[in-house]
Amino acid sequence: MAEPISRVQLFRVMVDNQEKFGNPMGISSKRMVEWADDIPFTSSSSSSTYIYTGGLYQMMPKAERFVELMKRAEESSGLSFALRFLGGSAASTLASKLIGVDHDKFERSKAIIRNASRLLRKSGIEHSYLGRDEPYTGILFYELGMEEYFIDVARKAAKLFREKGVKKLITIDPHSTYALRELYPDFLDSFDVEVLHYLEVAKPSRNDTWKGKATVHDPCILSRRLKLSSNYREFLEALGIEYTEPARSGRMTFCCGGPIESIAPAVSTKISELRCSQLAEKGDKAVVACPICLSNLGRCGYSRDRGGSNARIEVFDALELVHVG
Amino acid sequence: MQELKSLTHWSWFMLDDEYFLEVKRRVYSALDDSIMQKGVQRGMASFLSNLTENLGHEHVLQLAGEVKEFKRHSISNMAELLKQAVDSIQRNGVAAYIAKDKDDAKSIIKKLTDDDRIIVKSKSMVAEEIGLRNYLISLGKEVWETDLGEFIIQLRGDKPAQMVAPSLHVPREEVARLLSDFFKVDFGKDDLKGMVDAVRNFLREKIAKADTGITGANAISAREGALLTVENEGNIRLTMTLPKKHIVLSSIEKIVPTTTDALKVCLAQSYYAGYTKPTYISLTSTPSGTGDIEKVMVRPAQGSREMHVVLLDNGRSLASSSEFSDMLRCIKCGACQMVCPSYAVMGPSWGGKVYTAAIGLVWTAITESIDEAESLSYFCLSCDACNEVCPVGIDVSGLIKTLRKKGSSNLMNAEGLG
Ligand code: SF4
Repeated sequence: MAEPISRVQLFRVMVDNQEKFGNPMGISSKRMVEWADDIPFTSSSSSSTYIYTGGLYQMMPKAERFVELMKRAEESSGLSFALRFLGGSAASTLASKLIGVDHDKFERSKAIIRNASRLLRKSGIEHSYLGRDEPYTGILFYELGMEEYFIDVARKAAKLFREKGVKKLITIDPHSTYALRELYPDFLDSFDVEVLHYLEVAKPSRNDTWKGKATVHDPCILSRRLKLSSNYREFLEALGIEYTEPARSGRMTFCCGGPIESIAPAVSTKISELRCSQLAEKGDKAVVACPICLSNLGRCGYSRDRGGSNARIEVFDALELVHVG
Repeated sequence: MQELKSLTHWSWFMLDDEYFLEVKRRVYSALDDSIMQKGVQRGMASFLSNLTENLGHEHVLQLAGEVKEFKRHSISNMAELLKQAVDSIQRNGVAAYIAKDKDDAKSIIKKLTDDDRIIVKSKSMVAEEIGLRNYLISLGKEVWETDLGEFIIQLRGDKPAQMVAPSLHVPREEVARLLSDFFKVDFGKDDLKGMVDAVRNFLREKIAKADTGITGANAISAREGALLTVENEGNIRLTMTLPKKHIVLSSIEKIVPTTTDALKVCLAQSYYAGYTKPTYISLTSTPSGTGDIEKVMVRPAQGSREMHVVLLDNGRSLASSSEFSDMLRCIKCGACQMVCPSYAVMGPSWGGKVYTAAIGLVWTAITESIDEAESLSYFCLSCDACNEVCPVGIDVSGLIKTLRKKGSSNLMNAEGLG
């Protein structure tokens, strides 16, 4: 077997990216805000309520490429050798060059965030967007055990929210929500921004254009840490979507494998495949409510034709099922 | 200066990450082991339906809540309870020994079994922890595991895959192959009854001839010095009563205030291990005897003639005042392992020499090696499935995150990052 990649390389790339781009995947701020191009946010808005993207939907298409590269590197000793023995910045520059972003998937991410903003507006929730100033929460660093660095990132983000007069954030993914709602007040001296997840405030209307049943996959953080499983189901019901429950659902849900995709891509993929096959037992469509689940389960559902799992399942984000036209 | 800095980079890189990479290589190679995965995933699926049924009963949840409370209290008074337990055990006419580490425990047991030829054992994670079976074999003794799963582990020269089901990773096809080899009989893979019968007959003969039976204990009462075990096979009962000598090897965090508490631990352990009811719970506090002739006590009667209790510390006292102290509440039901997605694909490769997966990583840190446990912690998803099922409310994934934090902060500092 070829050589697996060490933690050192990975940590360096991520910290490097955070320093240069303000996020661990090295997405430029221009790309980060592209989704809002055709949405009229008035920067002079007097509203202190903001939609908060946390950058996760924007980062996932690149993260996917990154993980693929790591997997390839771990499978072929030549590339792994090159990555392991290059210095930190050199490796991350090389990685960024090799990676690029899957265009279709990036467009899909943009549409999801746009849907979130439109849905909020339709629900009567006026909001602004911090645009290029929007900071990353640092949650990935926390999950990787780099706690001091996480606190550093969090402090800077909190300072920015203060400076911009942010009073309320509406989040669109479980990871950022958890970071802002549970971790920030814990780790920072004072953090009093109100944090709400869209599933708690949005009022979707029936969507008759979406056909078929969906197996509902509970993202771990959403169900166990944020305890939003029932909001999630009420949301689907309001949309008029018929859903079925897999064997592991609600608070007993089974992870998509995503959280360790960067440190151990091969393990992560194996877990995604297992979850996909559990979901596929109940039907050929699944719904998720998290960019990481969407990326991991989505990829493995698609990879069937490339020798991946046999799970024939198409994966949608809950925000793709709303009708905002 | 710059040069000096990159030099330290290198030394860390080589030292630390070589260790991490070794662990990564090991778990990666398990990803291709479809036989192991078949066993583990089949086990997890049936476990889920049993546990779900148990968790539907109010009394089960209530019991877990009670156990959580008195275990919490017991751990914060561990030293005091240990003293009390040793006194009570001795008052019962049973010898009690405190072993501070693995070697200590082994040398105590060596002395106790010096003249023995055949020794039978019941399954015990603490015995695995000190490597008891192989140690006794190395002293020239004939040693047999009497729990079917552990017997399979012994034949394979393997380590236990899980706390309650040591041979979880061995599917029936593999068991049939193993037992056919051992008994020189051809077992079909579906001849489960034939296989279990053959093992039963073989082990019964060994137990009858054994000089000593060694068991563990699921809980020990400080006040009465009673030792309780829970099981389904009936092998523990035989192992503790048929041989003349009974040695209990357990650990100091198993001590709870009363016998009623100890009984509750056994029940909770069984429910959360996925059994709707335990087949046997055994309580023993003194060697067997009878007062039936004129009320004069004569020992032994039908059961053992002498009893010894060895209580292992091996890092537990230290842990009780560390950031890992919550782990000591663990009643080793294994539920956290049986719902873990990482375990589903990596199986026992994701663990130390003895303890695997979920809370097993923390047990590895306390009883084996913190370095190993740190490296293993990176393969945890932080998905919290473990926390959801733990009867005693341990933040398992939080403890694993503490391990990861140690590993990452060492690395970050050495790398001059952050
Ligand atoms: S940590 Fe909890 S669930 Fe896991 S073995 Fe211990 S008691 Fe059981």
